[in-house]
Amino acid sequence: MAETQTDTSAPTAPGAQPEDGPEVIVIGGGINGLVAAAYLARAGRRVIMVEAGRRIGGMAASSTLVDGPLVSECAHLVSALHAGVVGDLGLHRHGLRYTHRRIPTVLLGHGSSLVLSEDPWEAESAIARLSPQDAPAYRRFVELVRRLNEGLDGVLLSPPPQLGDPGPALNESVRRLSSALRGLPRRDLETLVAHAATPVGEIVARLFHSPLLQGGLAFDGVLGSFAAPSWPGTFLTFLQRRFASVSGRWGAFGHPAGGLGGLCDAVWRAAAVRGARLRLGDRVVRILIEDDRAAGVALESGEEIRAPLVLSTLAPQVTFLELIGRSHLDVAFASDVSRLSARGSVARLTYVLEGLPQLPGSDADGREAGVGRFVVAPDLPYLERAFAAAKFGVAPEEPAVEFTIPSAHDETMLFDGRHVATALAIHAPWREEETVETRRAFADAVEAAITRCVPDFRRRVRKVEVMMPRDIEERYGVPGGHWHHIEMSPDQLWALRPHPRAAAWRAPLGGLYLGGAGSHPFGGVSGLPGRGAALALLQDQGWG
Amino acid sequence: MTAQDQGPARPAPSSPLAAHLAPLMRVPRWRSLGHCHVPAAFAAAAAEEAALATGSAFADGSWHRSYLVSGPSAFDVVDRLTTTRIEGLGIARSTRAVLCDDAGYLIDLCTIYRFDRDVFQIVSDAPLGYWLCEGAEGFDVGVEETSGGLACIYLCGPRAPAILSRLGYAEAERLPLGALDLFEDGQLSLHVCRRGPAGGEDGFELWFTAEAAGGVIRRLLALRETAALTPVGADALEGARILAGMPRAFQDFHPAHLAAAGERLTGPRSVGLGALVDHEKGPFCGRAALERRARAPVPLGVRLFVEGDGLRPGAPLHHGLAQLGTLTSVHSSASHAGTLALARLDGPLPGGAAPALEVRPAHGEARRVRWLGPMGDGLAGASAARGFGRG
Repeated sequence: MAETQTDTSAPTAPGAQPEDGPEVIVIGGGINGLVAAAYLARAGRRVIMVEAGRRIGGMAASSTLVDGPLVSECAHLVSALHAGVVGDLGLHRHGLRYTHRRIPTVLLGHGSSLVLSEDPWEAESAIARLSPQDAPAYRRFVELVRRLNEGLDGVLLSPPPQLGDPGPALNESVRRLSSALRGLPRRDLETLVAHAATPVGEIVARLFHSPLLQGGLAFDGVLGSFAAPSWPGTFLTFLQRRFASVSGRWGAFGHPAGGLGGLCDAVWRAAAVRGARLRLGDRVVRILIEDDRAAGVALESGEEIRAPLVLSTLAPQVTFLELIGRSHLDVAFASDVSRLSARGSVARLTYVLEGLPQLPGSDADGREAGVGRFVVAPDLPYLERAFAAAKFGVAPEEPAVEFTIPSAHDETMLFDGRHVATALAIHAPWREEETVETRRAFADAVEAAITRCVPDFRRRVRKVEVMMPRDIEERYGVPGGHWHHIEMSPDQLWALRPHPRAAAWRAPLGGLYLGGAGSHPFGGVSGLPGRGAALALLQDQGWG
Repeated sequence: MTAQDQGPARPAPSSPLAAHLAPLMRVPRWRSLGHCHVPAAFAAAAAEEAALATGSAFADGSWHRSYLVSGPSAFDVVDRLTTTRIEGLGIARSTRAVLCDDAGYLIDLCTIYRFDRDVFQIVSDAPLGYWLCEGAEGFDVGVEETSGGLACIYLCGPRAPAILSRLGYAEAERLPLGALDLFEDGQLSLHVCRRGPAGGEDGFELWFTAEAAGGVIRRLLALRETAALTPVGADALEGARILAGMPRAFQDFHPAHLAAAGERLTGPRSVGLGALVDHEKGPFCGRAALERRARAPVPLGVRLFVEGDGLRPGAPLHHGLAQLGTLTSVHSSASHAGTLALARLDGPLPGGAAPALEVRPAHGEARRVRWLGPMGDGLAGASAARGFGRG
């Protein structure tokens, strides 16, 4: 397990640069740091990864957050992990195993429910029972999203243009974009352009009649974002959430054995077998800059590790403003970075449950009881009301929630026969001060929201732990407690992510690369920013 | 941090010296410069120019904007924002410095005074409040605009040291160029800096509070007759500035931080300030962009003498039928019997370093042009030669 990783690094005295010293330092041992380290090691480079925590994984780690079973600590499902990353790194060979890789989405309403299997035909028949006119529209919608994601695949995998560096490189990236989009049918391209700035709420309201279907689909457009379904750009978030699937079929969510930490362990093994080294429990406090180039890192312990190349997977605000410092940055750039939008709005809750609750539809569909990604977002106004409160820093009375019960399909997560449920509640406000009372009040609201759809949920709760955005900020060092480090709004995507002068994974300082969730293409457990940064580094050095 | 910029849309207030200088003006003509109005001229242009060139003159320099940067990180902030090496700038010393934006375009040519280890004053033509505050963000430093509370007098001409001695400041002759000293005699309290308004090093600056303006002016006026001290206006100073090839914000370049989209921006080299960019110093704002363009050809700024007068900025500069550039600053000089001008060239000069050029105004005959040299040569050379004091 990740906890058993040992410190295998060999920090050097300040100024020293042994011949076998690292060529690349990867800062941050989250999913993107791990993926970056694995790609670099796979290319034969000497790489050391430095992680502040005592285990790898960051927000995708597993730990005993609640006394007892080992559960995913923050992120709790795999949806957008790119098949290319899995294949390139041979993650299945290195122990990646899913306890369930086709977890369906179950939309929960007040008195109604809808099971959206990853199989569109199966989902269509379920929808037909609830809202017959929505069934064919849903199939068309699923197909459209699949085609759009296929068309966007090339865009997301290739470097976006560096707008601040016009010339041949800009032309080349525009050519790549054009080439990547060429695969899209013309009508889909038109739809993509039209939908890119359209609120997800408006799209689903146009297409579907069922409030439950509208709310449930719109939920994915706002999960992890500080946005309401009526906000432009939320359809892009929806596409990201449905960008890829662990089963290769649209709409499927997976749960790795051992939680998300199981996935991280597999990625680390892929890196370690190629010689990557790991330094745990020592925080990088400074990126050393010499002659306008990254030259290594200084650790909290006082040691320095020197290397000509540094790849940071921390949030761009942390990398630039804290680890590098404004003195090394141009004024407007530093100012822009300090103003990157990052208002975390997702709270993470972990429940210990006495037995499985009666979840709607389980038996009728013949599925294993408790297996599902359960979404409490009964309709669009529900999401809007929740956001309206969060907008003013107030916790919503009725939060929208996504929860799973991993112990239902992973018996290692059972604790003395008790089940564990993990929940993400959206539109939780970031507040300067969180107290036991404020956390408790929010947890009560979440519990009540679930109980309105799953009547016996509350009476089964034996214990709950809650992390508000402020707690997530402190625990993982992500500004604003934002799961994607910075907002996934149109002004912070693609060539603008995180900043036009730090796009395409390259910082405006030589030898420094950005591979965290705040880089292209997006956050989530996709591994793509880490992959992109590693490949950009290898290409720049002629090692690719 | 506090800083207030006087936006161009607001009516500019008068200089703190205005009430005291107005009675001396034969024609009440004022010029709006920086953050306030100052006298444009007091007497005949020829007399004022002569006083600057051969005698002693004083002028109202209160129109500059001044910003106090103080706090433990003041050095870091000032050093980060300027292309000039500040490291060797001692206490009670001053230097010319260039500010650039992220893209390496000119924000302003300013003067930096170091009052103490952690206290700097930045004096500029353009409003810098927002820019300085942005640059100071994240640092332990305060930025305060002090323009309204300060007054400045330029004391110029070869006899300027003697005037200062008559005022009671005996150190004038020995004061090193660029140095700053506090002069107090029970009635007056002012900072004297050996630095002038044009090429920069041909006179003195006297800085004092706006409240002290009356006392300082009375002492100076008392010397008018006995020491032949002549008040001169902004017009005469403009001629001296152009002769020295010193570019000015809003005239010879547009401050990049205030530019609207599509506005033409200027790098330091284009206005002859390339020597004030020290690529070898540590990181500073715009360094990467300036290095990328360090060897790229840029439009040149030049100093010219044009026959006749009545020209305005914007007049086209021609070589034959081809327009080579545009006049950016002009001054009808009585003593030179023609127009002194600064101009921006859009491309390389044809036919050698000093080709036959002419200005073709919209109305009237073409004017012949005499080449005086590149813009900024006197300024950059003087600053480079001067170096910094050792505090």
